Amino acid sequence: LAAPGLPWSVAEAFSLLDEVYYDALRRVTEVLEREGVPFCLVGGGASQAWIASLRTAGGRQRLSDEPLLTRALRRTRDLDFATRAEPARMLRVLNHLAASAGEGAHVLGPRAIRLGPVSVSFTLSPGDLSGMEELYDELLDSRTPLSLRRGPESDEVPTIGLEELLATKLTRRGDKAKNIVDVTQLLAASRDAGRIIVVATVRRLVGGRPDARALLAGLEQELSEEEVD
Amino acid sequence: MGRFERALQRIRDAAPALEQSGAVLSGEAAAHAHLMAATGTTPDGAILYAALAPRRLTAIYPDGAGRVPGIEPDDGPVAEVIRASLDRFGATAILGDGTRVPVLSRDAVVAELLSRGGLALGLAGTLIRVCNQPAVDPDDIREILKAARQGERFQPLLELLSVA
Repeated sequence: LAAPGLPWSVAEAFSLLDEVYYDALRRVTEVLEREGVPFCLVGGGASQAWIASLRTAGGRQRLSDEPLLTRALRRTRDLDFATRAEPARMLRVLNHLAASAGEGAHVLGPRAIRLGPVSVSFTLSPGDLSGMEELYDELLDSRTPLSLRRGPESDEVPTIGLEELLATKLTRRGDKAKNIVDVTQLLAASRDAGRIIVVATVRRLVGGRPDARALLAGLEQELSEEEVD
Repeated sequence: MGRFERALQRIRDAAPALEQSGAVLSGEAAAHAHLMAATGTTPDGAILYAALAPRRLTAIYPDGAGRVPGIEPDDGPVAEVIRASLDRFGATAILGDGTRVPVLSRDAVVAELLSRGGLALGLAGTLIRVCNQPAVDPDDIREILKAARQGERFQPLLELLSVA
């Protein structure tokens, strides 16, 4: 699966411990902030950001100084962002991003850009988030700045709120196993960091979605046992 | 000491009695024994892997064997199949302090966790990721699940292997 002429395999997956993935995250975040596009990191990248932030005391520790992260972060090939932007505006933003990133950056329309081996995807409006359209703005508004640190300075990464992330992980269809892996690691990291999860928020966001009911019950039981403890 | 640490301690302390009765830890308890062994975790020291605490500590007891306090008999469908072949599916997890814990083999534990579904899939993913040498044997796991009439639970394993 090695791509000719490229220093990475096309099937390679990354975590925030990998420079190429962390730099792609930082680069996209900087450009979206500068251009004033409302956005937050979602999906597997958001799970990694929350787990990393919780396990490094909000960026007080470097990522590489926390040995648990090598096993707790689920590697992925992409970064996903929720945004609110017109396609034409987003295309301009991504073209600026590609120009500043240089070789290896390719714009694939207003919803996707490739930064070297990392695929970056964007939802632009509620219609892009099938199954949770009515919650789109609430998920976007939950954005929480998480501090992460690879080098001497920490970086701020606007990320979907923890409860909102858990709700999307419990609710989104397909790839269930990887979502459950993320949920259990998020719960474990929250427990170890002493971060209390507001179950009522997760429950409200999950609502009556039948697919998520059993998983939500498992999450509620897990959290109530921690509370009793 | 939290629920997690207490559970790990109970697993360690139950080891001699389990061995004496010929029982093997199963399910979440066995997964944690494998994880402790693979990472050098001991219940009294730092926990060197990230997971949720086991909800139930279970073991598969041979017919007529005495029960170990705090370790429930496993009556799940996979356990029923494995009980007949404990010689084949039994293993030993050696903890950092040298304690030898009788457990189900890792592949059998993964089959059990797949059979349970829900958040147990997360523990299966952690087990595969942390204890990945040698690689899990999907054929072995499929065979166990089919024998337990849980064949439809196999599919998530392929997803877990792809993200491990």
